[in-house]
Amino acid sequence: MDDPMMDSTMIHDVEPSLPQPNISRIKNKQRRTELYREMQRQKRKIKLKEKKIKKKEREQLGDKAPPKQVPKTIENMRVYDETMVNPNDEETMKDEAMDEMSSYFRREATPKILITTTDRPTGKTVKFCKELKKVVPNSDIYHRKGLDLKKIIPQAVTRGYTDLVVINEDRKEPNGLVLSRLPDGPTAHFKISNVNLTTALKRPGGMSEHLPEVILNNFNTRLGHSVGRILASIFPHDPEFHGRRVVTFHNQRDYIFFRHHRYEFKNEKKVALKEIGPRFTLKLRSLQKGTFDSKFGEYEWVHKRHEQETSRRKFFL
Amino acid sequence: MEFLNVVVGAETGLLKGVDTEKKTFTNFNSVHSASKNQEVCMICWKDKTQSNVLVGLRDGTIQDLDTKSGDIQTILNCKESEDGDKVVIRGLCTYNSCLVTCLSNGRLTIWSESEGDIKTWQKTMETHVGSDIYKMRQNPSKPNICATGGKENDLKIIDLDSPEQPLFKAKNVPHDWLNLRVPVWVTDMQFIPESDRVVTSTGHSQVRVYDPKIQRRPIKEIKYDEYPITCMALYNKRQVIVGNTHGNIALIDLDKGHMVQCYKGVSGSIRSMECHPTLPYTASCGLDRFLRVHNIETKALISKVIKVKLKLLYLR
Repeated sequence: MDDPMMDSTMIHDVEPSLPQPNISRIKNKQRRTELYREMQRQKRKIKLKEKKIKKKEREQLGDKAPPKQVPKTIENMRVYDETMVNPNDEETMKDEAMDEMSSYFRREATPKILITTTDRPTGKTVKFCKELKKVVPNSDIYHRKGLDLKKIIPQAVTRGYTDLVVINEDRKEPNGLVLSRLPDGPTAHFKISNVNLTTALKRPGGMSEHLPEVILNNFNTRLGHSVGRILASIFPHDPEFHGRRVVTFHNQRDYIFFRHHRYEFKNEKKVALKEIGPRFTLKLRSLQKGTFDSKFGEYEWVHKRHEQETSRRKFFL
Repeated sequence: MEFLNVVVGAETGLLKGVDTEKKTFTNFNSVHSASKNQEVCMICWKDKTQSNVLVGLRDGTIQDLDTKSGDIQTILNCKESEDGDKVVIRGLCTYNSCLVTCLSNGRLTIWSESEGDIKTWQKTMETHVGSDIYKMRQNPSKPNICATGGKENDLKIIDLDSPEQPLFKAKNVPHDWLNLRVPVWVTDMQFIPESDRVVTSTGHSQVRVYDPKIQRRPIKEIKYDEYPITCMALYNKRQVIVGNTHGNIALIDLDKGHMVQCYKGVSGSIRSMECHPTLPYTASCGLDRFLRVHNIETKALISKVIKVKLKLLYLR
């Protein structure tokens, strides 16, 4: 019985050209875990040795040393997307100059937002709406009172609202966001997750009324461009830089992270950030061409989970 | 795979010719001339030689495009002054060297070229086929017959020689199980070859077969998915390919009465679809800015990006 143990320890002292013993055959858990720990220790030793050798080599070679190997991450292994927008592409620029959001970018009207929720919202959703009202300037909250969205939309258009935001609630938590550009613009439906209200943040900063700067990160594909434009068109055009307030929409792996900070430049290189306002994550579920009409509307992009998610490295935004 | 050449019209007004084998496309008109007003609404071949294409735009102008040389000529404007911006061309075809246009407010006009050196187009006949038309199609085997349909405007089959009275007007199905009237919304139609039958697809996700000789109500009704069907293409006498606003493409067998095959990959609403006349390929384009060619039998996909929301396509 002791023989396999003796064999395995002896094998470990030799250089690792022989295959590792199969420790899963040992039924005794204590001995098995000990052996496993031994194996890991040996592995780490070998790894450190190799690292030292490489470092020495690099120092010796100096300039001629081979470049450092970059570790593979999901982001840099991303499947090539044909719809990645080339910034100089004329056709895409022309297309964007003519789409529904272009009226914002041509400064034809300041955005006026109407925020509402589903029927009978609970405390968390109401607080979330109030925080959103503080974050987005020029916005109003209205009670839903069980009205149809299709009936609200024409009324909002006549009262001059440019965007409609509906927070959907499920199980007493906000879980969906419908952002609709009002006259006849696209409707984006997002899934909200990980909502942290201001009260939950550690040492939150003070909110102010200054117009924020908007940062949109990583919206590279054509679909990402459209979504980025929809998100940007909620905020007023000219940010007040002396207010030092910034709202960030950071897209990574198809999840859009919303953060709200106050920044201060300590010197040329260092910035201090203080987080104010809520923190939440959005994931695009569908982008519809007209205003909200889930039954008869035409979809520009729908997230089809089983049809499209073939690779872990393929993203759409 | 054989060489396929597809002409695609985009929402910005650009016309593109696509070489599906090399997966490249060329613009027929320049990017600078693109505007929302020039949105392509209908395309059809000018004649059997398939070298000239007639393009109907949103502002009502009809252009003649030569696919070989790339020249574009504006022929005429078929909108009247009272037609607003919302009225679009929904049907375009040629008959006996005349041009037939159908607008979405129901105005069906036949234009003929005048003789002489300077060719101008004049109206020879005009009728109304109801309001809110979604599609008008011509019977490829009998070019004097065409069908129209729209929202709350059921299928009508019209003879272009005598367009005042439609040959066939469809009747709505009986009330449903709650005794409510079933709404009507015809989005596309196709003529079944070697018979008088017409297949229509509706915005309430139904595919209906009509036979004018038997009865006015549809002889068959098949329901597919929950979303409005936007376009339909005929594969053979028994099978139809439909696409809906959610991006689902399916091959529906009319005899069996249900969906036979699904084609995956489309994530946006499908605006237009065509089947190759001899080879088992179908091309579809839509709002997700891709032109996709599927092999009907093996469901394989050969896809291509076009960059702009696509509206129409025409196969050679």
